[in-house]
Amino acid sequence: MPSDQIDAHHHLWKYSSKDYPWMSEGMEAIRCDFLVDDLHQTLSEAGINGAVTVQARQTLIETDWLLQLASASKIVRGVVGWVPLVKSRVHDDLERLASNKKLKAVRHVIHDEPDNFFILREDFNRGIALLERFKLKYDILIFERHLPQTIAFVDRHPEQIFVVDHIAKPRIKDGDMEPWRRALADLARRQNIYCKLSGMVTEANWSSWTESELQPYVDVVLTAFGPKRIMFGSDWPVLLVASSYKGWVETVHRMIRSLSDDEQQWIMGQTAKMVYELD
Amino acid sequence: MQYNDLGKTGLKVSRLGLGASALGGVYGAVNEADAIKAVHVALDSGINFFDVAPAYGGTVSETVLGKALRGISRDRYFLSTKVGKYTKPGSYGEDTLDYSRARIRASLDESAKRLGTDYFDIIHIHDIEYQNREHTEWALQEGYGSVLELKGEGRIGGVSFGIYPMDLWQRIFSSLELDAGLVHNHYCLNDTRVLELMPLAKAKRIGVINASPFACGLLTDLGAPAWHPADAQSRLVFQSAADFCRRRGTSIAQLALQFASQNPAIPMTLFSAADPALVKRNVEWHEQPYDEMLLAEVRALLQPVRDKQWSY
Repeated sequence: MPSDQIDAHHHLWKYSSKDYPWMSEGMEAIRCDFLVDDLHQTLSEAGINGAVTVQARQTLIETDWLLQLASASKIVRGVVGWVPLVKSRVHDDLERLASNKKLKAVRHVIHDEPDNFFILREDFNRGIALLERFKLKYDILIFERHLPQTIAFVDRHPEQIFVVDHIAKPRIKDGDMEPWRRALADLARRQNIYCKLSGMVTEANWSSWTESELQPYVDVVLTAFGPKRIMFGSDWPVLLVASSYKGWVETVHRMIRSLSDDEQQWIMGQTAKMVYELD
Repeated sequence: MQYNDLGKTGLKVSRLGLGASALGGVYGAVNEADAIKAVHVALDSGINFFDVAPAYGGTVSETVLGKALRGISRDRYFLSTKVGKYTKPGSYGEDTLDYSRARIRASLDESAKRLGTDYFDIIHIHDIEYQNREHTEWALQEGYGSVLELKGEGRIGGVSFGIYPMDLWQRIFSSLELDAGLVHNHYCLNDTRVLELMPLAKAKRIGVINASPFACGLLTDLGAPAWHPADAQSRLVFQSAADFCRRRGTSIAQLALQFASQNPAIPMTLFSAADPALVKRNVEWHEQPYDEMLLAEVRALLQPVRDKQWSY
């Protein structure tokens, strides 16, 4: 039986400039609707049969909307939603939302916060501390520069399971590997954190990236986390500014081909299934 | 190697037995020649009981065990297999459950052919709780009846079940005539619930067979395979305990094997390995007493997953 091929990271949206102000110049390719039918078509063409939808808007409406879409879709196995973690009302929000079995985790767009040390804020950490009792994981969206404080953050919550998105966004465009490599290795020493192999093409030069340019970054992630703590993700449709969906899937397959079949299966679906407790 | 009476079966079984699930690639790719050697090393170490199932590796475990037992005198070992659950070759998923009389009788013939023997000392009715217990009643009625019939015909020596949920075990032990019960994952470092069944087992002389001393891989340095239902948080707890043992210059697997196989109330514990070196190692570990202090410390570390029940 072929094991499930899971895309651990994608988005869905009904585009409006008001709701998605971050879609800047050059992102015309994604300034339109991407809904479940598009997802089904795109993923099945690439042999992917399960996916985890991740919040884009930072509202409770987004979380409810994504859960609603997930309930009607066989391919969407889980949702990483958004809740107001810094607010005291978040306990009630979590109680209401966590009864939906498809809510697997939450995320806040930390790397867009003006405060580089947002991740260490008391109110934010109080919210994070609530997640474990609801069996929710937390997706960490950061840039390379946030890694030191992220390590301190992860250490504050040793029982919480974390997933760092997009390999913590190294500066692939600049061809720089430090201090990202050392900091990521340090982060990976914490066993309660996993890593998504995603969002790489958008950190490279969108029009001229090559697989050989990405391979060293993949090798760092493999060494730091090991296949059993890595999960494949696409960041569709965002990746479309730089690559086709199928192109990214095939690139990843090639970049991990030196691993055993078992190890590749962990990366291409088993890790995501286990961490997010997908059916 | 110590030998114990297995309930009222009349069998005198080695305190350590070999489960053949690993021979079918359930825990990773297997070299057939090594797997055959593993079985022979087990025999030479004094192990006289082999357990298998058609479901393991989609019949591959039975085939490989059969190859290993070819030429070995049938009176040198006891053999059990299972009925009712079937998987496609090369995997441990996509199960078919069929507890009909026809399928069970055919299954016995198929297993007999693969294993090269016409007689099974014990037949376990397999995983009747799977698929949300949709087939449990069927298994307990037609399944049980069919296996009892085979015993009456002299084709098998004893009737047993191979399942997990404790509430089902209580029901089966109290309401059915059984010769043995293959209880997995309920006497290991993190779960000792098989002890709840001991009074009934003693009263009705049911031979309790303990299986999965390593909790399907959770109690090893490598951790459990992807198909194991344990969530990331639970795996973390097991991993911390494994790290702790490593820092102490030992391994959690050693403590796991020793603890699970040395309780005098339990006649036999099965482990599964397809590597002859691991078989040898496990037998050696079994013959040594474990460190009581270490046991206390490790069980304290495993407290968050103590008696946690998994949904296989």
